[in-house]
Amino acid sequence: MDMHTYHIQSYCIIRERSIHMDGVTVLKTEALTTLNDFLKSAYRQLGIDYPKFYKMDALCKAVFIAVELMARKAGPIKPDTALIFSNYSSSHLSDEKHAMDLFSADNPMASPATFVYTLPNIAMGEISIRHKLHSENVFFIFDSYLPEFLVPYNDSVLDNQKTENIISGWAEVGEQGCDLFLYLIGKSGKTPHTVAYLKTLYHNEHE
Amino acid sequence: MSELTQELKAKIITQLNLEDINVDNLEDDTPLFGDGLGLDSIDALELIVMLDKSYGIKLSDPKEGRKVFETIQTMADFIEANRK
Repeated sequence: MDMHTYHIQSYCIIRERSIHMDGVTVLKTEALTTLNDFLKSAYRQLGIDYPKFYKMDALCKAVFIAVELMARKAGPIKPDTALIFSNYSSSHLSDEKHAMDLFSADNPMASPATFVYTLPNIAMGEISIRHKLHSENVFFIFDSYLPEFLVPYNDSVLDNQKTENIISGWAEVGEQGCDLFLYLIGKSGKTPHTVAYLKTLYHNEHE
Repeated sequence: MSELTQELKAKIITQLNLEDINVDNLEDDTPLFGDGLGLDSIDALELIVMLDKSYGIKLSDPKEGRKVFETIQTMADFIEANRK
């Protein structure tokens, strides 16, 4: 008998130039393309319709696609679903682009469209707008994916009945590329929400 | 003037990442905000920066922006009248 209270209901992994949902490869390309171009191509191939997507930075684009696929698989995201994300590089790529604009030798001038993405939690804002969420959210910065922290943290949020669902995980988009592992947690499901299971899911697609 | 409107269309599409729009299907009198292109407040800031960066025009009165950024044509008229 499954004694675990909470379960992983769906999960998405985006790495290199591939997207996997619940262990199944949804999209993969061998083409030499930038991450941004790969994500734009994925957006088109997956038939998503949200023109604002093109304005997003790569972190937001990756997170957006992952949550979009989760919503298709697990059903509409409930409005009180909490977002508890983490990564290593924060919004480094946008920060760097913004700095380049500011210190450009010939015409130093900030771009508002770049500046708005110089915080990682903007990605959660984009998700909240898209799925009409009115929920708690937090974005942690860690050295690496840390289920040892996230599992008890998420359990505590659920135990305290702040919400019945959480989308959580690791959304790293930096100079080393994309390493995204996001999952939907709820009461029902087959995969227990434990450190061991999360490590297995994370590393299975990683190797 | 039509050269300027074409140039503006290309710049706006590139600068604002309007990837599902091309120069040919953007009319001179399409409203930039609201039911037209549906630009938002960040796009408005980006247009202000574009005026400064590309044409040396600073919008000193934010209220002025509402009229200037109504359509591609109103932008082009404003640039023609004010560019340095």
